[in-house]
Amino acid sequence: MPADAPISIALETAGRVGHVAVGVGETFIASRPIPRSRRRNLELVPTLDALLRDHGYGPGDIAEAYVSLGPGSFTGLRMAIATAQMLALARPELKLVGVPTLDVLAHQHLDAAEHVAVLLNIKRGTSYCACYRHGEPLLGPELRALDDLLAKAPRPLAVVAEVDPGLDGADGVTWLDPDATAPDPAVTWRLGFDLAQAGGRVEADKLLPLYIREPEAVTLWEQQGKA
Amino acid sequence: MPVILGLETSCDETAASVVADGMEVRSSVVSTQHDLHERYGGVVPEIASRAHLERLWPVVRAALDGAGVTLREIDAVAVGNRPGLVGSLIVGASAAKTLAWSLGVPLIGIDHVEAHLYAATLHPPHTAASTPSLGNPPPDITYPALGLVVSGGHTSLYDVASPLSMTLLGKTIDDAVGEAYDKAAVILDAGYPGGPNLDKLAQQGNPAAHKLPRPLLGPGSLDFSFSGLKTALLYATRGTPVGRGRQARFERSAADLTDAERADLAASFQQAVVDTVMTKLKRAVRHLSDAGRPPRGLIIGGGVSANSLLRQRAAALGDKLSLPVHIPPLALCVDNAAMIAGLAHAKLQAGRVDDLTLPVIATTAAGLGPPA
Repeated sequence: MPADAPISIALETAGRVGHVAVGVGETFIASRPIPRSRRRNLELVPTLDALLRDHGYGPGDIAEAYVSLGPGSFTGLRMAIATAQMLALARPELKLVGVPTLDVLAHQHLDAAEHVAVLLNIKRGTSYCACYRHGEPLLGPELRALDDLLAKAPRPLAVVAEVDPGLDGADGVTWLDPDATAPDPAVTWRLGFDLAQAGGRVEADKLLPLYIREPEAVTLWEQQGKA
Repeated sequence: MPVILGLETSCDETAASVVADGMEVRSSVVSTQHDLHERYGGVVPEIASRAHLERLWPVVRAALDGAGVTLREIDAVAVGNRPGLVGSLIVGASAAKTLAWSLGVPLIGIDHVEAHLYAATLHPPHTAASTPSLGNPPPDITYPALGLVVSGGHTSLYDVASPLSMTLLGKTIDDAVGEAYDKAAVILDAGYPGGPNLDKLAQQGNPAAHKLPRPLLGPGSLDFSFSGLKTALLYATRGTPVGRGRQARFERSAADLTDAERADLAASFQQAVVDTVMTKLKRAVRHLSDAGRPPRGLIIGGGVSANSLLRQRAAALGDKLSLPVHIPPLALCVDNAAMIAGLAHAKLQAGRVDDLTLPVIATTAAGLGPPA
């Protein structure tokens, strides 16, 4: 690869285990899990530092940062986005790219079936979901009732969902192992790279997680108010 | 003259500040979330965390621009990493780590409560009317001093040997004084945030109108308790309840009272709170003197140190005891990042810096740190 090929990083913290990744030019180099502990999210910067050092780089070398937007672990996402925002503050020329986590998971399972549905943030019979055919979106992403998704998604359909969405057993539908919802940082990096090449860039102050729903406390408060 | 960027996100204020030489506040930007939490009558942690992330960039940017510095001129990055709401602390800590790492400068974690006791040391941010580098410099603080932190989350007394060394003498065993104000404001329909609104209402009332308790917790105790006083206010406002717990029914509500009656209740409550705090301060001075460590000054910090009656009475107490009283200007009483950056200067000078694994901690007992 050219000596001046740009260094890029990916921050993937939507899942239970967070990861950081590095690439050079159009080549993915390596990733590293963020140590799992009660304060694992606070290990993001040291882990990124160690990963870059292992490959002879430092923070001043980063030209592009690809950040998984969720939905997923709110704390992990906020941690990664605060990190990305401040990297951009320190290096205004740094290119920030947000990567939808639904897309990451869909691209991890392209071979599972002709159609793949990814369902995240499943609550009260709804989920934030999208349906893909060979990686290209057909439905969503949107917050949608599970029944509605089942009715509209084409078959054969592989479902990626953290908890049993109750769709397994329906004709032509297979629920993949729950571990299938763990985002692969190499895929996050690849999608981020592709988005960056296509001109995708987000201003630092606009880079925010996909929360999808109001905080639980707000929902409860509103329910109590109606009661 | 080290220039330090401070970040503060421990509760519901997103703040950034640039402080030079530990005293000169070049900028102090505070974005409060009161509007987001008002309808809930208190801080909702998840809402706070979301808002911190949304406000982080513009607040830090404004602090740098306001100070007229670039990140290249920053010598260290400080962050309040304890105590506070974990989800909120994480946003500030993540940002501070990234900046320190990116800039190749020291990272310094700061105890938010200790920082409140540093706020009185700061030269307030300059205004058009003041000389930028001078402002209204506070008198130097002489140590050892007696420290009092009064805020929404903390009510504590400290034996302060230096800005970096303090020993806890007493603390609240239930509500913090600011929390008591917030609850009292709910009882009296005074709105949110309770402290400033109740203070304003109290100024129109008669502090002797109602005889409310002064909870002192026995002879010599330096701890605080405000839950009984809050209940006494509830009963004085609504009458004696019939039934218990959620089934309790009251004779009336604050809405049934005239404005003058509500003001009298607010004034009586405020008088009881401040009487209690003054008694504890006198006890603490006596305690330290008896222990052979008479304080040479009184330092007060925290959001409730903006309370008008508390400031008046503390000044009077200082005169009576011949102790200089150090209270920050109003802008530095609330949660802010100038106190974080200021105290970080003292830690930087002492070589007490942190690495990138700096944790966030929900609860701490200030005073457990190593001596200066």
